[in-house]
Amino acid sequence: MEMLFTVISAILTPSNLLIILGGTILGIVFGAVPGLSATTGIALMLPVSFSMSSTTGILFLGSIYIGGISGGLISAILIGVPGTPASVATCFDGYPMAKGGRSSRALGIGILSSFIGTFISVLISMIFCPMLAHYAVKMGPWEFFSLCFCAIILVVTMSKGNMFNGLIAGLLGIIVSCIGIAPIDGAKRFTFGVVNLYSGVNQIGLILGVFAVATLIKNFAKGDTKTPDIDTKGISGFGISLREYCSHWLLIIKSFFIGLWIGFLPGLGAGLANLVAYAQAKASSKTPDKFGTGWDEGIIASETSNNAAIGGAVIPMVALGIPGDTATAMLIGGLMIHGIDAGPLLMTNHPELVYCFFGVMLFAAVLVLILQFFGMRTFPYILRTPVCYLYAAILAICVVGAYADSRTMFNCGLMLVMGVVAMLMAVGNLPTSPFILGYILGPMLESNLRKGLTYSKNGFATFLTRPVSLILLLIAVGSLAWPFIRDRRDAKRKASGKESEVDKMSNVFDVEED
Amino acid sequence: MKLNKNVVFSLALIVFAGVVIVLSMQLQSLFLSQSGDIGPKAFPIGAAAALILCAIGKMLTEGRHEAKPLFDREGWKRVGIMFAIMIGYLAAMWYVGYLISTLVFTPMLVVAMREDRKLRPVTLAIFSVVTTTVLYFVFQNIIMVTLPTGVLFR
Repeated sequence: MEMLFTVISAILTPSNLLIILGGTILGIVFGAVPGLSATTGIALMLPVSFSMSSTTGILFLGSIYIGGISGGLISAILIGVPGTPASVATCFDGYPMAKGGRSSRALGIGILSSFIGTFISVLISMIFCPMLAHYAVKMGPWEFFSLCFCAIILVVTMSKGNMFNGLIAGLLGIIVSCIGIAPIDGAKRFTFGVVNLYSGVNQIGLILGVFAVATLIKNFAKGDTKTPDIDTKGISGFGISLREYCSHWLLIIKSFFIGLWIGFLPGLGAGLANLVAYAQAKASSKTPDKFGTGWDEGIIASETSNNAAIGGAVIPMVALGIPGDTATAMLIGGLMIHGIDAGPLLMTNHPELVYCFFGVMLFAAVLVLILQFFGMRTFPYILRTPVCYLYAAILAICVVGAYADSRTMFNCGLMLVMGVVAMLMAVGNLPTSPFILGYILGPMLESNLRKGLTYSKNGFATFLTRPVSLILLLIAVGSLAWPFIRDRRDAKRKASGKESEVDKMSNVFDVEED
Repeated sequence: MKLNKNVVFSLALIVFAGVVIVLSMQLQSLFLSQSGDIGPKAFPIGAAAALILCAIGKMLTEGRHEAKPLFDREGWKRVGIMFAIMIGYLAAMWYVGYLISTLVFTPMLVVAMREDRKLRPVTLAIFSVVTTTVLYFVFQNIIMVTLPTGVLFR
């Protein structure tokens, strides 16, 4: 009860309320503009959160996260271009419905589904996190090493494309994380006498370079910067009654649990959840031929599942310190900036912070519902913002943000170098999600490996003799074999013409990562 | 196997991993090694060795196929222009500080990314002044970060 009052008083403080409102609107804007995402929004605002108290900072970043995932439906429905990979499947039925003069209905269904997905999944994560964290505090360095190892391998192998590319990206992230002072013995590694590298590669510089600078420059190079034409004339009200919406309850529940489970698995997230839920909805529908023509069920499946993935991704982040997707990796970065280690002890050492995070996600979900309902006619104008002005302002924020974190121009240079690194990675088809995960989990991986070896008498064998550690390592090894099995299965399906719905849709849009 | 983009990329990764291994070999622990500890060298060496194996895997799997270019010639030109402007922006910030550099370089970024859009000089000027002022106010007065004044004006 005391915690409830702490959370409510933290959220309802006038200054925090303003920050949450600003963060949610900013998140919706980043989610709505094609090419940007919740990840870009969080990356860009990390330096701003640095000056805030840890509680205010997490309220701010949490509201951007929620707004960012929900905002993607605006562009998906109105212009047929997903604002984020999480809204790819929303385009399939949302856009045809809007083109048919039913924009209000499409947006209304999307907004309601987003709200249900986010709100209930966060409530579920609030129940599961303490249970998982309670168990996790009993784990030793052996289990933690295996857990980090398993998370990185899962991210790599479950993502689409060549597994070697994911592994290379993860290993590059780990090597970058080795720069600076080594854990345990404090040896200086790869610093070349540069004082600014003693504390490692700056997190803000790296995140801004990889997820903001490189993303914007890539969008511009591909020519994705033209301002779309949008018709907002037909938008008024929700376009669907609550009773009519609730008649799809079974689909809502199915899509919700698909999203929650996929979000929970490291590396998959909302980008895949919406496609799987859409494919499932189509496969189990009595009228599958209506899908793709502006059918309610398509939007419900996509938007419920992608938002339910939020709660799923938050569970391993809060309880174990393992990010479920790129955005939660950034949120862990946000905690680290404030000197807070994300991990099982987070719930014991900073329970008020954890519950404020849950609280702001619930609050932001309600705020998104209200903002998107009343702003239904206003938000489409976000998409009319000339991209050249928007990108120029964002790049200026990146430079100032990188400078603000360490008060050195070195960090701005580092950001550009990381932008070049991300561009080179794109040339080699390397995904960025495993890279950031390797960078965030690298120090945890190394320190737990070295602690585990120091504490044990049997050396590496202890990692195999402790049951939980062994199970996690077996999952990692098993998932390394999975892409080969998947490729063989897909090849067989293609040869027999039985390609799955998810595969077909994945080929339409690039949904490799969020 | 053809000498395509992916093969060259994999070879570059192998060279990079080799450099990491050589540099790691020269590392020295500051303390006497505790029983069982692998020291500061082992982890980067292990990661670099795994990188070599994966680069070979990439070469063998992707080297057989025709590599798809990331951008066309125009795209790469755009990348070059953007990085050149950003480098110029940082250099200007170092020499003349935040205010002048941001006032000059934000409109340059807009012009570079304008596509077919017609830009009015007045709008550009207003955008430049507003962006510079808002960022200055937020970072200097709210976040309390003194923005660079430039080595020429120190």
